[in-house]
Amino acid sequence: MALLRRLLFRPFRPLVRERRTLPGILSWIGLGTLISFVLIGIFGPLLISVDQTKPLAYPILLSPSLQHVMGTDGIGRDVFARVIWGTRTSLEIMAIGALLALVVGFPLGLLSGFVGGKLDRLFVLVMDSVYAFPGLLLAALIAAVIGKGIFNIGIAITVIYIPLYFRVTRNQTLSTREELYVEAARALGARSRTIMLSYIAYNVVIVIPVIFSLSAADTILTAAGLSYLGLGLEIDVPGDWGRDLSDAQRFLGSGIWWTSLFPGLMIILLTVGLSFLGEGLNDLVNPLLKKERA
Amino acid sequence: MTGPATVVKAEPTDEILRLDDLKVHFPVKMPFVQRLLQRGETVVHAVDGVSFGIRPGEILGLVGESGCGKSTVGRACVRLVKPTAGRIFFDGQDITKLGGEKLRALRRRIQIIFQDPHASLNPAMTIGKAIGHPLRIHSSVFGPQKTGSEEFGEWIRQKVLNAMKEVGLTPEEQLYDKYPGDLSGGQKQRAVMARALILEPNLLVVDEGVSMLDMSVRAKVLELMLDLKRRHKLTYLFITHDLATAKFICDKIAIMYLGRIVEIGPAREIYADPKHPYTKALLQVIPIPDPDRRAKKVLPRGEVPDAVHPPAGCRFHPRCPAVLASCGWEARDFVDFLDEHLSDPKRAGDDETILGPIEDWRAKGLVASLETNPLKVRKAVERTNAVLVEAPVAMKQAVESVSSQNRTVIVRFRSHHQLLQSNVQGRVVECLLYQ
Repeated sequence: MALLRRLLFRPFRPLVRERRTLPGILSWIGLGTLISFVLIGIFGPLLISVDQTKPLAYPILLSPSLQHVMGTDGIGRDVFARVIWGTRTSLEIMAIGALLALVVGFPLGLLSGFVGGKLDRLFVLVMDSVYAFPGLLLAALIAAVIGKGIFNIGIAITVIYIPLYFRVTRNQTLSTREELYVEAARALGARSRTIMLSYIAYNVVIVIPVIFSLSAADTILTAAGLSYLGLGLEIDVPGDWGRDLSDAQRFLGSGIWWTSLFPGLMIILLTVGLSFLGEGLNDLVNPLLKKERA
Repeated sequence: MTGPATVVKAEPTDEILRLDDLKVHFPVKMPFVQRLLQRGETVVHAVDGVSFGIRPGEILGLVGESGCGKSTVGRACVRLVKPTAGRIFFDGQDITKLGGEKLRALRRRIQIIFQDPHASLNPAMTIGKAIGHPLRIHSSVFGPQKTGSEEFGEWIRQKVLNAMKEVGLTPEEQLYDKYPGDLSGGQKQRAVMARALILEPNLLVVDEGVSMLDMSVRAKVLELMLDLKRRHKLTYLFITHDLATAKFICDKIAIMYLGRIVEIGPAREIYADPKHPYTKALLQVIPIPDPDRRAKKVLPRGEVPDAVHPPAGCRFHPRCPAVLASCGWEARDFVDFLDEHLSDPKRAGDDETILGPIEDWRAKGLVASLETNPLKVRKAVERTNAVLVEAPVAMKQAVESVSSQNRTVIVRFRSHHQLLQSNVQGRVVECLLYQ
């Protein structure tokens, strides 16, 4: 447990230490965006009733006003309520998709890189074949096979991102394995398991937040893309940015902008925030890795 | 030269560490196709027949130029590299093929300190944690205390703090929670020493342990090593390229060259009166702090040869200032010499047209040959003889014949004497001069 705790906190040390540099600021903005979205996702739906997200709750296509700050859409749903509920949906998919990919990809990459040999070759072969598929196509295929629903979409997205986690973790493991402190640990009599967890995992985990943020941003886009194509969630999900955007499309020509602007804005804000976090962390972590080695 | 030559054999003693004809060869990585085409294996002869023993409480210095295999010997002693042949005994026990839990148990008793203290410490572990980690790794040994229990943690903390105090890593309470990146080089090396000592080992392999530290820190760390030796009855295998450091700390010295020990014996005697030509050459390079003194330097010619194909006979012979005809001259040496000769236009004249290009020469064991135009063969033989006149005397004497056969020039060398170890004035030397 203590090990898990240290593994979780280790990646965030640079964030605190270098908070005044540009990448530090970028990361904090990203983290702030993410946290506010999480708060909206948790508390928003508690304040806004589901009924407002249902068809024919209100007259159709009302423009933004005090009653409906973002107007209503083509089948009479409150856009603001949809957007808020959609936040929860997106975060759920992101959490399932990116976390599952992390939980599967990280240990596999660690094991593959550390053990090497035939096991490594097999894993790399499988992962590379998955990686070779275009992401959205693969997700669409899986979604078509296992059906709709938040959890299923999460799984479909997980499959795309496992190879990403696997590759980054494996490569980092390969280079860390050659470090002198790993040899020193072996000379101290450490078992392979101890070396892998206390010495290697520790120094590999530092790259995880970077790919987590970047892949999470991608997850949002992929999920929205799937919904947009009609392969995503069931029709009665109370908020789904991708589908709302897709539905709003046909009204754009008649000058009705509010039904597409707000869901689209949410997608952009969340992905940009996550990208800020990812890129910022990347800048923080990589020079740090170099400095620690020098 | 001095008394009858004797062959030295390993006799059973009270030695704590004994290497018996240790060999460590590393395969050279080659593309698949090349591996198929080539007969036999290509290996780097990193360590090629090293034997020595260390008695408890002794400090043995293993000295040599970089690439001579001294670090590999150290790594083999702690079983970080696998010996190809030969045997390693620790405290009377054969540890050459030890594995699993027995090897883990052994590692409590033999520890190694590497050259780079910074790279030896896990950047993600605090100093206190790193020093205490060996105790956790071997927690099963320390009786009934269960790992993770609060008493065990506190016991480790106390031991770590004591160890830190002992190696001079103070103030220990403050440094306990620092990361390696926050410490200076000297402090890091002290931390590494504390980590090695916390298991109370019997033998400490110090691989260039002070080479990366600057002079003032180096002296202090060396003093500390001597001090710890006295207090913990430690035995050191001290690996260094720096003869001045070795002189300061070692009881015995072993001089290594290209995977073999050329001279081994009591430090004082070797420094006072080196026997092997390589040792002599090395000792002349030590700077002496006296501006008026001009040391005459007989530096070895050329560079350390390739360890994939080490020279025949004595490995030092191509560079040796005191070389004899029977030291191991072979075809390769002649081709190397010819190459040098041809690449100097002032000396070479038109030799290149007759004896060149150098790539056409085939060197195989004792026979060097050049296939040429039947009309030129005679002239080529004459020229070869002429070139040989300028060759080192010993090489000239080692040439058995220069002859021709159809269209081929053949330079044949005499086979060399077998090189044995001889006992010379309290030390063991591997050189024909003393055989």
